[in-house]
Amino acid sequence: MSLADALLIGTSGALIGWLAWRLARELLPAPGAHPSMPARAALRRRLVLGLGAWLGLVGLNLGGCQWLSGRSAPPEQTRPRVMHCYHRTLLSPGEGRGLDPRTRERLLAPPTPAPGRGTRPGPHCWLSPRVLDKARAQLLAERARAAGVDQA
Amino acid sequence: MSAPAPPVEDMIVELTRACDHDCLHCYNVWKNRAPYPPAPELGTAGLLELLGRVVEQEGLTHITLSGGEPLLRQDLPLLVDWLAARRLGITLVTNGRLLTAAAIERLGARRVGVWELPLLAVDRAVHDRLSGRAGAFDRATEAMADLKLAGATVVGVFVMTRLNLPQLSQVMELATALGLDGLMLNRFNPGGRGAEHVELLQSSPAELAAAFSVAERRSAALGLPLAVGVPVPPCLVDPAGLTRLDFGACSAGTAHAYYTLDPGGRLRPCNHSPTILGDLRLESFAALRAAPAMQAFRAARPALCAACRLADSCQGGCKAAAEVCCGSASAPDPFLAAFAAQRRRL
Repeated sequence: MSLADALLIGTSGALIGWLAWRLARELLPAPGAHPSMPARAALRRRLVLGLGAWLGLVGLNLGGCQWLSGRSAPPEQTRPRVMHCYHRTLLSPGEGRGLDPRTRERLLAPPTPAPGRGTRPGPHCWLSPRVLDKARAQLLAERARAAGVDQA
Repeated sequence: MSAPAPPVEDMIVELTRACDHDCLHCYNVWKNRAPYPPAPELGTAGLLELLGRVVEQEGLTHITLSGGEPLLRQDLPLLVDWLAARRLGITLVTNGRLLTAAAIERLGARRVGVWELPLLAVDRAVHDRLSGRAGAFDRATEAMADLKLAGATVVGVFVMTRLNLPQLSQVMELATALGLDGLMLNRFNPGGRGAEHVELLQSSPAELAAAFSVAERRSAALGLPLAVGVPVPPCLVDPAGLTRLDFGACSAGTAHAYYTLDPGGRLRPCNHSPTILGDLRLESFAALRAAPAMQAFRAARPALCAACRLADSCQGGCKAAAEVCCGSASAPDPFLAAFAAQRRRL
């Protein structure tokens, strides 16, 4: 429970208790006595003011009230959502998409040594030649498929 | 007491305890220091009878086949046939060692919706060391290439440890070169055999934050989709600005939960948790979802997080790791416990 929640609950309890006490005093007067009109009007005023104050506190709490908690509500991005099975998020259309086929072509291209600096490490030195060949074959097949789709 | 856990669409099925790798980070519950109760593995008929009942009762739409190593089950093609015939989505988690072109053809590259294989490093010595077996890197990468040639959807898994974190950027390049459809970034989460290697494998929050920043930047440049598969407490690693990573909190007990069926037919809240909710051969899925053990698991929060306003959504990280390492789901996630002094106020 946050400080703001604790303050809200505490203040609500005190207000409700006070209002109930005043209400009981006005509505259940001593035997033979009748509440006067001014007393009823004062009671109505207190009820409206009390409820207004309480609703205000609820509003401040829900709004992440800075002066109650001493800090603002965390931005939406830092609130953890429930984790989905990754196949529902990773493979659904979204921001992560957009692989440029040229990026993959560049990564799978034979290394070209830069003068004086040698060859930049890449898939050609990480993968076995057989796997590299298969990755290149798959890229070619993908390009051919894409070209076929374009022509169709 | 809170409402019973709702029905789910996904379930993980651990087909066998057997494995031909011995990963340093393996979280399989039967490798925990505290003994996991043994039970004979279900045979083909018993497993299919159980799955048929659960799929019908629970309305499952997706099954993740895991292990151990699922390809060590001789009846795997038959199980995939059975699931595909019922139009269930299938994810297959494998180390790729037995996934030859012939095995892919037998299983059907496209009948399995997602193939999930480890891609732990670009340096084969590091990948093999983490996998506990020589040749693991070459076999996994060749299986990925064969799967892509066969038109499959393939996701790589990068377990973030101190041993391989410096290679993350290059691993993302390699994943792109292999044509993978995405990469999962799972922080090392102690459990099983992994709990014996915390000092060797556990990265600090600062190291993880730096790695996530690199991943964010490289993901944009390469167009490689990423997902984060293990909850990361936001008080230790600030997710602000990491818009391409899909952070999330524990889903156990929610409609997105991935309850896990062990090889003997017992149901657990997730694949990391050693808590046995009950025997699915004897009780219904709904009854086990409503079991007191499940309610307790859902409600568990570490005392360390009591004053945090995100405690209910974050839940303090991974409760299953807390169970394994500290004996209770209400204990702090071991990552949170190790770096408690570094927490930000949220």
